[in-house]
Amino acid sequence: MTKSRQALVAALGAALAVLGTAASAQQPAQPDADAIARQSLEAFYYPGKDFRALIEMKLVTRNGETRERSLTMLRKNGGGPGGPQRYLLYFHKPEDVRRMAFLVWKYPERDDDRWLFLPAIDLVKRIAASDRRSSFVGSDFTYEDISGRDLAADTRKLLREEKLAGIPCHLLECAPREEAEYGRKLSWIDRKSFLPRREEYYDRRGELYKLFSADTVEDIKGVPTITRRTMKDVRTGHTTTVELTAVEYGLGLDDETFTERFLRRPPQRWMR
Amino acid sequence: MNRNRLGLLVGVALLAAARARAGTADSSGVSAHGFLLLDSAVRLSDKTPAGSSAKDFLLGEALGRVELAIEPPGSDAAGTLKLDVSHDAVTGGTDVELREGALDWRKGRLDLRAGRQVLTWGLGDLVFINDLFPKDYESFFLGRPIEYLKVPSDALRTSLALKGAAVDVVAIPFFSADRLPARDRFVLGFDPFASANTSQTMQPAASWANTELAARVHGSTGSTELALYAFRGFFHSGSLRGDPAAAPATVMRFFPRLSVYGASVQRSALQGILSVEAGYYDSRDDRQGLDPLIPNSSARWLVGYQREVSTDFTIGLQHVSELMMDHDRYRSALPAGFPEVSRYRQTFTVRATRLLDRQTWKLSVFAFFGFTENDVMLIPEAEQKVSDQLSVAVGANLFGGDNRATTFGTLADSSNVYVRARLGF
Repeated sequence: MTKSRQALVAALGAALAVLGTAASAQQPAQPDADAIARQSLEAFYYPGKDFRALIEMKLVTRNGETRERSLTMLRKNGGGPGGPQRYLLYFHKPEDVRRMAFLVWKYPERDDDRWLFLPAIDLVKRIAASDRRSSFVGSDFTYEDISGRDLAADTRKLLREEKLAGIPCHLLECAPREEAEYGRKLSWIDRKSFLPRREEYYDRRGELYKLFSADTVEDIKGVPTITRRTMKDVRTGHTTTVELTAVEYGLGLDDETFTERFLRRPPQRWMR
Repeated sequence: MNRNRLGLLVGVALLAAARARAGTADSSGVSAHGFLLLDSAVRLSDKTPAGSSAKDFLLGEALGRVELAIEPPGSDAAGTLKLDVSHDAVTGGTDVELREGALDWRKGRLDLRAGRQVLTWGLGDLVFINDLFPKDYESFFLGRPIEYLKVPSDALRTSLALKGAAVDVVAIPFFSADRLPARDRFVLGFDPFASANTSQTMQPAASWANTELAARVHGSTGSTELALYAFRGFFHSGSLRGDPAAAPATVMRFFPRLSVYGASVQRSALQGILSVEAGYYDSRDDRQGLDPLIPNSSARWLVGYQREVSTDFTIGLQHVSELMMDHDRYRSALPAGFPEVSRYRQTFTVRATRLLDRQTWKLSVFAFFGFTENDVMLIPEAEQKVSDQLSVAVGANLFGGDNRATTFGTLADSSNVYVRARLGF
């Protein structure tokens, strides 16, 4: 980019910023982008004190080759939205990972503690986990897509209010503070439920490469829940669809459930 | 043979039952699964072990596994059964092995597991200090799946969960020995009992006094995990005694008494995970270190570090030490012709694992470097998950050393390439 073009872009940016300020000044009731993101994180990753679901994933290549993952997830919040959480994942399918289990103690702005139980050799293994952007079980979802991203990890702005398939949404633009594989992300966040309805990931050159959609939203005992979602890799045509069944909130899980004891042998009453 | 036939019959019946309800778990909580495994290993040297008829192969195995689980919904009890039926073209033998047959029961803070089960604890990666449960090094050196590194124990495991800590006590009344590379498959570079044509194994008899006990107390503060261990039992690898001592015609394997006391700490540090584990081996049958056939008491410890250096690429490093007690007495008692083991031995291990193509490919290498003895073992492996059911792996067990009398040097002529296919159902 030449110097003159940089200057032009800067000038345009400044002009847009002025216009944006003018526009928002006319609508004083607008919530700010950070507040929307916080409410969205709460609605998507923190509803209920705890949570259980049977998760069925379908990983489909462009040619239609399909792999399946099936697991039961238990989650417990250790504080408010954005606070620490504990997860237990019990795998049912495919056969070679059956009875494997995964325990995650997630902390805000710090690496997770993760343990894996390999039943064939009775081994509980702590695993190094610094990269939350790596793929979750080979799917198009990352660990962060499954358990949420730190609010402080992004800067964001509210672009506009927009209807998506008739649903009024806030359109947020997020950019990672530290270098990540995406340069920016557009999120259409349902104004009512604060669940993300659609997300577009752009790489650092500005090219769309990943697409998230909330396909089905159900009301589970008063909690709007995305029970079917899809992540598509636009470049390769690979998609992952996740379906949640047997969803339950407020089970009354205690902290002791999220320890080695239940990693080795699941709590039968919560299994589905 | 009768035992084999019976086992085969049971296996076929279970397979039929498994086929009928493969992959299902009905309301009674019964599920059936299993796999078929084909694995073979080809020797890289042109030497053939004296007892083997299969010239180039160490292993040519077909194995069927049936796994039944009963977990009545809402019940405190559960049961598992894992049965293997295998045929090996190299030894010509057909084998039936119950890999697991255990009942679980959970009540309040207590978990019980009784029966045949695989047991593992401790922090080492393929290095075992406080894990004194039996191992199958032969399977490991043949490139069989990693679950076969463990020999199941017939045991009762009691676990008590307390606030912030847990206690495990394992009682093993029926002794199981380690399985070591044997002369029918492996070419051994150093074999002081090569002249022996008969062998005997003197296993500790099942009795109260011989019941092995292993205990662990573990807990955590923040993300730091602490554990204490204790073990009272026998050396599982055992010792060999030739008769007569000079040019033995008979070799006898026996298992000296052993107690181990240890501790471990693990925590996240340096953007990875740091582990330290130590144990004191009390060789109870030779505390003075006077008997050259019985291992001396020793202190063993390891420092490990693992880190995900980039997406789906993990590195693990370990430094392992073994310090022999009473080394002077060991030296003076060592018979002529036996290589001397150093007082302080160091081993370094490296593991690198890279996942590719949506984690369907796993490229890995594991290496043991014996600093003190100048020996090495390298295990490169490529594994592909072709589909949810089928995975294929190709790898190698490469042994080397300056000296044929070292742990890995003796196996130098048994370096092998292995191929493995596993079909799950």
